[in-house]
Amino acid sequence: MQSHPENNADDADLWKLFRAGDDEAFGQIARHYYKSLFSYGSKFSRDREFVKDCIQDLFMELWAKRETIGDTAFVKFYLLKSLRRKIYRESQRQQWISEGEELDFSAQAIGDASIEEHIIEIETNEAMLKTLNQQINLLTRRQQEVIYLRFFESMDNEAIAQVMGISRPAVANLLYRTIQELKDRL
Amino acid sequence: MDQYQEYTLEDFVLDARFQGWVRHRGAADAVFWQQYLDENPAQAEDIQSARKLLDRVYRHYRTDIDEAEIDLEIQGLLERVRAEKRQMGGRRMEEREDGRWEPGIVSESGVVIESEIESGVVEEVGRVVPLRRPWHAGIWVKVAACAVLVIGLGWVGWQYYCFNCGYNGLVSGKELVERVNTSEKQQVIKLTDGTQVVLYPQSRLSFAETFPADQRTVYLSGDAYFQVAKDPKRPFLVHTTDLVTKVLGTSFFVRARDASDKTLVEVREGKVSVFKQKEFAARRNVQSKMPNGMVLTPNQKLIFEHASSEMRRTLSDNPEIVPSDNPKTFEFVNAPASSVLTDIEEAYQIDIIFDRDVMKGCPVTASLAGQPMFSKLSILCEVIEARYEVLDGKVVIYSKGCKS
Repeated sequence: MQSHPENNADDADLWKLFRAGDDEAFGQIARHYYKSLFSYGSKFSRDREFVKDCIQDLFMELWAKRETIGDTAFVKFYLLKSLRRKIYRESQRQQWISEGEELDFSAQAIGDASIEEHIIEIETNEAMLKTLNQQINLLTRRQQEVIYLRFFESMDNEAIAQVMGISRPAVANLLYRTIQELKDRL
Repeated sequence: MDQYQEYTLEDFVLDARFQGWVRHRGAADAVFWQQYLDENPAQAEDIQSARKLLDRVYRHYRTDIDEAEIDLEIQGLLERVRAEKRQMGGRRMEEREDGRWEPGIVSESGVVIESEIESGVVEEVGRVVPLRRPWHAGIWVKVAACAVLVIGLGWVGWQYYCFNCGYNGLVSGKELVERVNTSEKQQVIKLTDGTQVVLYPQSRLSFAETFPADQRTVYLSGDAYFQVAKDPKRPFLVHTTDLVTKVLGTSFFVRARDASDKTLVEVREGKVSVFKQKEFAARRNVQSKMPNGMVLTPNQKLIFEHASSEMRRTLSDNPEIVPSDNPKTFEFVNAPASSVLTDIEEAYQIDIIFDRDVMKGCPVTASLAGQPMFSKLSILCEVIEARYEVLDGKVVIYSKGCKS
C-alpha cells in the first residue's frame, strides 16, 4: 500500500475509541471513508439507494466486528474490498446478475448529468467531453476498475490485485495497457 | 525533486503527488509543479500530456454526492448503532438490576425515547427530502460551497499551507521587522550588525530591529544568500520551517520555500552547523545536550527532506574556488595525480578521499584552469582511468593505479 496520510496519531486515537464502543468516533470514521466508498460503489450500480444501503450494512458489520478488528493500516482497502463483495452478493441475490458473471464496473449512468455537470459541460467543450467519455467507455470494465482504483484511491498494484481478486502481474499488465491506450487517444 | 527527473508520462500519471495536483488543484501542489516545470522545461510535454490524461479520467468518473447527503447517511448509521447499543445495554441492565446504575438508566432511557422518534424521521428524511427539496435550494447550496472554496484556495495560495505552521508559526508573537520581496529581482538587505542578505523574489525575512547581546536570529521563508559579519560572541542563527543554521561568520545560501518539500543550505565560505528545527527547539526547552547538528564546510550542501525528516550532505552542484592569498594555477606538466587532487582540495576546500601511494605513480599533464570543479575531476579521472563519486559531501576516487 502507498502511504496513508489519514493514519496519523489522531486517527489511531479515533480508532481506539471506536473499538471501545464510542459511536461518535465511529461516525467520524464512517464519514471519512464514505465518499470513497460511495464513489467506488456507484460505478457498479446506477441505483444510488442500493449503493447507500450496501454501505450502511457494511458499516454495521464493521461495528459488530469492532472488537476483533486488528490492523488499522488497511482500513480503506479493506472497506473497498468488502463493499465490492457485498454489492456482488446483493446483485446476485436480487438476480441482477447470474452466477459466475462479473460485476460491470461502468454501470454508472452517463446520460443523467447533475446540475454541476451541466455547468462544466457548458464551460468546456461539450463535444470534447462526449468523445472522452466514449474513449473511456471503450476500455474493458477491468481496465476501467484498475485505473479507477489507481487514480482515485492511489492504491498500489498489490492492493488493487487483492480488491479485484486477480493477480498482481495481471494488474500491472492491465494498468500499463490502459495507460498506453489512453495516451494514444489523447 | 530529483526523483522526477527520469519520469515519463507513464510515471507521472501513476505518481500520487502528481495525481493529487490534477485532481484537487491545491495551491501548494500548484506552486510545487509550476516550479518544477520552470526548472525542467524538457519534461513539459510529458507533464502536460499526463495532466490531460488524468484530468479526463477524473472528469469521467466524478461522483455526484453532496455533503448533506453523506451527513444524512452517517446520521442514519449512528441511529442504527445507538439502537443496537441500547439493546445490548438494556440486556445488561436487566441482568444487573443494580440501583447504582440509576443515573445511567435515566439518561439512557431518555435517549431511547428521543432516538426512537428520530430514527423513524431520519429514515423518512434520508430518503424523501432530497427529492422534495426545491430545485433552487440545491443550486444555492452549491453556489455557496463554490464561493467558499474559491476564497479558501485564494487564501491558501497566499499563505501556502496554514497560518500557524512553518514560517508563520516561527514569527508569530515576536516583535520583528519583516522584509518581503514581492519584486522580480533580488534585494539586498543590510542588517544592523553589518550582515548582508540577498533576498530572492517571493521570499520573506524577519528579524529584530536591534539584535540582543548574545545572538543574532533571523527567520526565513524562501531563498536567501547570507554574508554574515564576523562576531564570535554572537552566533548568527537562521530559522526556517525545518532547519536552524548556525554560523559565526561566513557566506552561505538557504532555500526554504514553504511550498517545497525540501530545505537546502549551501556554504560558500567558513563553517556552519545545521540543526533540525524540532531538535533545536527541544534543546532550548529542556536544557539537554547540544542536538546532533551537521557541520558544513565550503562547497558543501545540505538537503533536508521534509517527508523523511532526514538531513543529507552532499557537494554543491557547482563548487566555487574559495578566495585565497595564493591561488592555484591548475596547470600541470607530468605532475603526480595526487598533487592535482591536493590542489583541488585546497582550492575548493573540500575533502577528497584517495590512496596517495597509488596516485603518486600516475603522471598528469593537463590544463584545468577555468573548468568547473566536476569537469576537473572528470578530466583527471579519464586521464588516469579512475572514477569518482560524491559521498556525504566528500569526493571519493576509485583507482586501480596506473600501469606505466
